Amino acid sequence: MLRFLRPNFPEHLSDEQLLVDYVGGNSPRALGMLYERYMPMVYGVCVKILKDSGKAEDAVMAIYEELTRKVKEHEIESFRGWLYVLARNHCLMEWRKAQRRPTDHHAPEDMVHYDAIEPVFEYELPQGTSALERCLAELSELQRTCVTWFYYEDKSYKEIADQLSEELGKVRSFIQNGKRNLKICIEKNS
Amino acid sequence: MITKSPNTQINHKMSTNPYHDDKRLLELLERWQSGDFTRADEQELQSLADSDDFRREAVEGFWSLPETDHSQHLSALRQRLRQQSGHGKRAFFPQLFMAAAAVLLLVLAVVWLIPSGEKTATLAQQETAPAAPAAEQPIASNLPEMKSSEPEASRGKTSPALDKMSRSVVADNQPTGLFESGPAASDAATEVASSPPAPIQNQGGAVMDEVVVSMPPARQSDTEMAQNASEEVDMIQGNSAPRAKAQKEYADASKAKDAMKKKAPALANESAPAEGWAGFQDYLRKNARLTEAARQNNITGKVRVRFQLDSNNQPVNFQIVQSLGYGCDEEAIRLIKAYSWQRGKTAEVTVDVPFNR
Repeated sequence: MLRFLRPNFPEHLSDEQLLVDYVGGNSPRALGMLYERYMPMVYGVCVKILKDSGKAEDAVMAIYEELTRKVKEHEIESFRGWLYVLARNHCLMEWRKAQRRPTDHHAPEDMVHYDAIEPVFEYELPQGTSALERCLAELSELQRTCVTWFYYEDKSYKEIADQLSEELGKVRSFIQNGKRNLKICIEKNS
Repeated sequence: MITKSPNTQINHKMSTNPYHDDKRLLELLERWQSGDFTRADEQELQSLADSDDFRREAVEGFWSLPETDHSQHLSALRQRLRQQSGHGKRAFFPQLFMAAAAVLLLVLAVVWLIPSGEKTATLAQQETAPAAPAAEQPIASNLPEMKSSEPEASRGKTSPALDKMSRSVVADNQPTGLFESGPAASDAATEVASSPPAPIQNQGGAVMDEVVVSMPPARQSDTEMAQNASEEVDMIQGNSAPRAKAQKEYADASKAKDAMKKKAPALANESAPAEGWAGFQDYLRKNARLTEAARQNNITGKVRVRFQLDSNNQPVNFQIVQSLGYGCDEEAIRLIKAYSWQRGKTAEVTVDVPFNR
């Protein structure tokens, strides 16, 4: 009777428990709950490989469908790792299929890794300073401002966007592109 | 003066259980998206990404499109997923309702038994029938809350105390909104179970003496039971004012409940299969067969079809978004035409028809 009164909080159940519940047939919704935990990460991987947020969204749902079939067919030890492989493979396959009608020639393996911490900040000040200063000067004004404010004045994206009256997305873009240009410039000069 | 940015490893726990790091990653990504993000956050995000391949590729994905509003996609995905899987709605509901009803029974028995000795236990029992709709209201009116991704949207139906309570529970439990899967609805509804006295006041007062209501059989559905009870009470008492208001609220809530029982298109803006996506997927799994030409050429895969639903819910205006060829495209269209659909506010639908065997 008391167990009956206990509310069902799926958030406290482990991945493996939810999986067992689903495969066992007791809890048809358990898989959805489980997938929802990883959904943003699966989405991120899909965006990386498919290079399109709309296609990534559709891919996430398609992977879910594949999941509903495959969990019953396979013995899964670690759901997280297995899901990662499933998601990657699905997106790579979809990417290759799309390549039959070539629109874009990058292979996902060639994709640039977006480093959050640029090596430039690892350079010792004495040598790096002049190169850094010179390269900063070579950035566009907006890129330079955003990079300076973000890295040297510790401002947040929102603060920068408000002060410059720019869109948030644009600020992110300026910072990322600015950083990349700095990296290229500094590598050229050393 | 340019100061060197500290290249220190951020001191946070890199637990062996990836779940906590994943959660932290999503919190940081949410902030990255919302703009409340600084250099230190970026360093932490980088460490989390460096320590695991899944996290790394996920972050790289988001970062590759810095100007996109990814939260829109994630919110849409959550809706789509819940629609297909059916979770996040009624998973815990029957248990909760039973729990609420059980507690109500106890409370009412106490309230009516103690003050006046003349009132018999049977009368107290009969009170539970009209009490049921009262229980229905706060729970049912939480349903729209669960459906939307904004649990704090105001609903004028519940009593203010309950409303405040559920809102505070929701606020505590969902600090980062879209990037994390939400326990919001379940917690709000739990609160309902544990605080029945508030909503009961409105109803309990109206239905007092001279109520001769037969206890409906336990097996009746929630809707029927409460409706029967309220109808009978009305007839006997002619108690119109408070009951009418309750009736209307209850009717709205039960309509929402019924709509949810039907799994959906009634509530969603999207068009969908008449019996829900799960049924449609099942149908495709059972009926989608590769054409002979495809099989001979070792082709498997899926056809993506876009179409519209006309005013008679018939699929029309087919477009092959992604073709498999070898006659499978035509077969996909045939399968779609053979199924029944429900048109929503947006008439356009895109489906994937997988051909694997």
